[in-house]
Amino acid sequence: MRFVRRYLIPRLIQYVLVNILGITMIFILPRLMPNGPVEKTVAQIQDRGAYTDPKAAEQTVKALKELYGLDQPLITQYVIFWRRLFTLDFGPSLVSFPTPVMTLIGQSLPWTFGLLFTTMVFIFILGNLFGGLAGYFRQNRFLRILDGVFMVLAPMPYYIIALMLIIIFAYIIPIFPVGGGYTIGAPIGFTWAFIKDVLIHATLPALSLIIIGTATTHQIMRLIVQGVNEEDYVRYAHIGAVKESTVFSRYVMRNATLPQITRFAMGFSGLFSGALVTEVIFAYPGIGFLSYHAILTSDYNVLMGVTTLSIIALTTSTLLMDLLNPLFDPRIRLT
Amino acid sequence: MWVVKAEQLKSSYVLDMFGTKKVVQAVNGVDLEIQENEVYGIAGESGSGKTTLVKTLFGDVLPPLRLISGKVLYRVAGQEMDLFSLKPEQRRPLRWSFISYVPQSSMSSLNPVVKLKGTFSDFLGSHVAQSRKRDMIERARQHLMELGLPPNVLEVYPHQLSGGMRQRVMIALASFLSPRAMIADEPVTALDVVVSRGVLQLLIEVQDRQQNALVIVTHDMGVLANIANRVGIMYAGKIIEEAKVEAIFSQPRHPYTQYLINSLPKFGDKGMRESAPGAPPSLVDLPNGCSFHPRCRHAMEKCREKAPGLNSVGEQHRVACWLMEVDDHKHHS
Ligand SMILES: Nc1ncnc2c1ncn2[C@@H]1O[C@H](COP(=O)(O)OP(=O)(O)OP(=O)(O)O)[C@@H](O)[C@H]1O
Ligand code: SF4
Ligand SMILES: [Mg+2]
Repeated sequence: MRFVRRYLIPRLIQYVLVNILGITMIFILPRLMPNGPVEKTVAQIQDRGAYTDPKAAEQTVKALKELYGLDQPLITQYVIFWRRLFTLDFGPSLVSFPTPVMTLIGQSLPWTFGLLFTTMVFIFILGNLFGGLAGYFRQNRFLRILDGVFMVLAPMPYYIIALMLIIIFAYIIPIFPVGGGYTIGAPIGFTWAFIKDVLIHATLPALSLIIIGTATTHQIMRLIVQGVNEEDYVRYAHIGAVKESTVFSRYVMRNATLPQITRFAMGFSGLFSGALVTEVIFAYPGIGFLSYHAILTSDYNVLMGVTTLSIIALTTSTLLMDLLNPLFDPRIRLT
Repeated sequence: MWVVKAEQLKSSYVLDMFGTKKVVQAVNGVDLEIQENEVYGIAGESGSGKTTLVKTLFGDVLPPLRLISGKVLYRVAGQEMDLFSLKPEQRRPLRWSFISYVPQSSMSSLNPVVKLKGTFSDFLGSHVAQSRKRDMIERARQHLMELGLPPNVLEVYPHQLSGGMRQRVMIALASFLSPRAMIADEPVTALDVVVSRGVLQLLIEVQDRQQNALVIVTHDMGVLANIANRVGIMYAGKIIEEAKVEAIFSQPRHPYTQYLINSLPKFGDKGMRESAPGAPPSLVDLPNGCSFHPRCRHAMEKCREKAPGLNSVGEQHRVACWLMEVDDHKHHS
C-alpha cells in the first residue's frame, strides 16, 4: 500500500501533468508566431506560382481560420484543441489533402514499431551479454577482440555504417534491396511471399541499427560491469568461493542489467519520432520518413500529430520504466 | 594447538602510479599463531595494516595486494597445509568450511537483488553434497534458530533488515559449516553501541558453541577488553606487542601500547588523556630501525638503526622494543 501511495501515485500525477504541459506548449507555440500556419500555407500556394489576388488570398486565410476555429477566442480554441486530441483527430494532411493525418500515421507506425522493437530486443540481448562477458572475463582473447571491434564501431557516425551496408550488400553484392519497405506493386497481405519481402527489405536498416546499438550498449555494459565487479557483494562472493558462474549471473549481471532495463524502456520513446536517419537513408516508410517529408513540405498538421504523439510516447515510456523497475529491483518494490 | 599460523608474513600493495612503482608495505613481517578455541583480537590505528593482515591470512590476495614473503599455515583436520602453495581449486573448499569471514559492511556485502536464502545457498551450495542441497535451506533455518535469529529472515532482501540483524545474519552465514577459524574485520564499527553489544555477544556465543578460533579486528580497545583472550597490537604493518588481554591492559610494555592504553577514557576521568604525539609513518617510506622511533620518547641510538624483533618477555607476552633488552640486561647484572 505504501508502495502505491509513495511510489505509484506521485508518478501517475507527474505523468498527467507533464503531458498536459507538453501538449499545451504545442498549442501555444504556433500561435506565438507572427505568421501562423494558415498564412504560411496560403503563402506556399502562392509560391508555387499560382497567381492569387491579394484579396482572394486574404479571404482564403479567413476561410481557413474559420475552418480551424482560429477566429474564436483562445480559450475556446484550447478546449476544441483538447477535444480533438482525445479523438486523435489532427485534421487532414495539408499536402496529401484530404487524407487525415491519423491515417498517415497509422500507415507508418507499424513499420517503425516493427523495426525499432526488433532491433531494440537484439541490441539489448547482444550488447548486454557481450558487454557483460567482456567486463567480467577481461582476460578472454575472443572477448578482447570483440571489444576492440566495438570500440571502433561505437563512435562511428551512424550514416557511414548505413551507407557502407548499402554499398556492400546492395551494390557490390546485391543480395538486399537499396531501400523501401517492400517491393512496390507487390500485393500487400499476410502471405508468405509478402512477409519474406518485408523481412528482406528490413534487413539492412535493422542491421545498421543493431551494429551501432550493440556497439554502444556493449561499451556501456562493460563499464557498468567493471564497476559492479568492485562492489563489496561481488568481492565477498569471491571470498566465499561462490561458483564463478553464479557470481557472474546472479551477482554481476543481475545488478548490472538494472540500469540497462531503463535504457531499454526509454528506447520506446523514439517510436513516434522514428529512426529518422535510418528511415530517410533506407527510404523506409515509417514515422521518421513521414516526419521528414512533412518538414520538407511544411505539412503543419502532420507535424503537429507526430509531435503530440511523440511527447506522449516519451512520457509513457518514462512511466513504463518507472513501473517496470520495481519488478526487477526489490529495493524499489519494498520501500 | 594453533589453527592458523603466519611465519614472517609480508604482503604489500604494489601500485603503478603513472609509471613509478609505489609499494605500500602493509604487512611487514608478522609472526602469529591463532590457537584453537580462543578469541584473538587485533588492534591498531587506522592504516596500520589490520585488514591487510587478515586478508592475507585468509588467502584473499588479489592485485594490487601481493604476497612478498613468508607463509600462512592452516591445520586442517590435524594436517598442516601451506596456504600459498595450494592450488586455487584446493583452496576453494577450505573457504567457509575451514575458515570463514565476517565483513565490516554487511549492507554492501550482500547481493541487493537476491533474497537471503539465495545468498545462503550460493555460499554453501558448493560445500554441500548434491543430494543434501534440497534440505539446506531447512538446515539454514535451523541454524538461525539455534543462534536465536528469526528464521524468516531467509525470505527477505538484505535492505529489509536492520544493520544489526544483517550483521547477525552474516555471522550465521559465516558459522554455518562450523569452521575451525572465523575472521571478523571490524564487525561492529558501523553499528551503534547498543546494537553492537548484541552482535558481539552473538559472535562470542557462536565461538563458544563451536569452540573454534575467532579473530576480531578492531580499533576499539574497549571491545577487546570485553571479549578477547589474547590481543596483538599492530603498528606500521607489524605486531609490536602480543599478550593475554589482562596483561595488555594492566602491564603494557611497548611504548606505543602504553600510549594506546593510557589514551582510553576512564571512569571519573577529567582532563584529556595523553596520546602518541605525531602521526603514523607512511607505509611507502618506513623509517629505519623501529618504525615507532619518530614518535617514541624513549627512542635510543639503536632504535634508529635496527628494528627490534618480537621477543618473549614473559608467559605468552611478546614485545618488539629495544627497551626490553635493556631491562633484561638489568635483570641479569
Ligand atoms: N587496495 C589498496 N590499494 C593500495 N593501498 C591500500 C589498499 N588497501 C589498503 N591500502 C593501504 O594499506 C595500508 C594498510 O591498510 P589496511 O586497510 O590494512 O589498514 P587497517 O589497519 O585495516 O585500517 P582501518 O582501521 O582504517 O581499517 C594503508 O596505508 C592503506 O592506505
Ligand atoms: S624500539 Fe626504541 S623507538 Fe621503538 S618503541 Fe622501543 S624504545 Fe621506542
Ligand atoms: Mg581495516
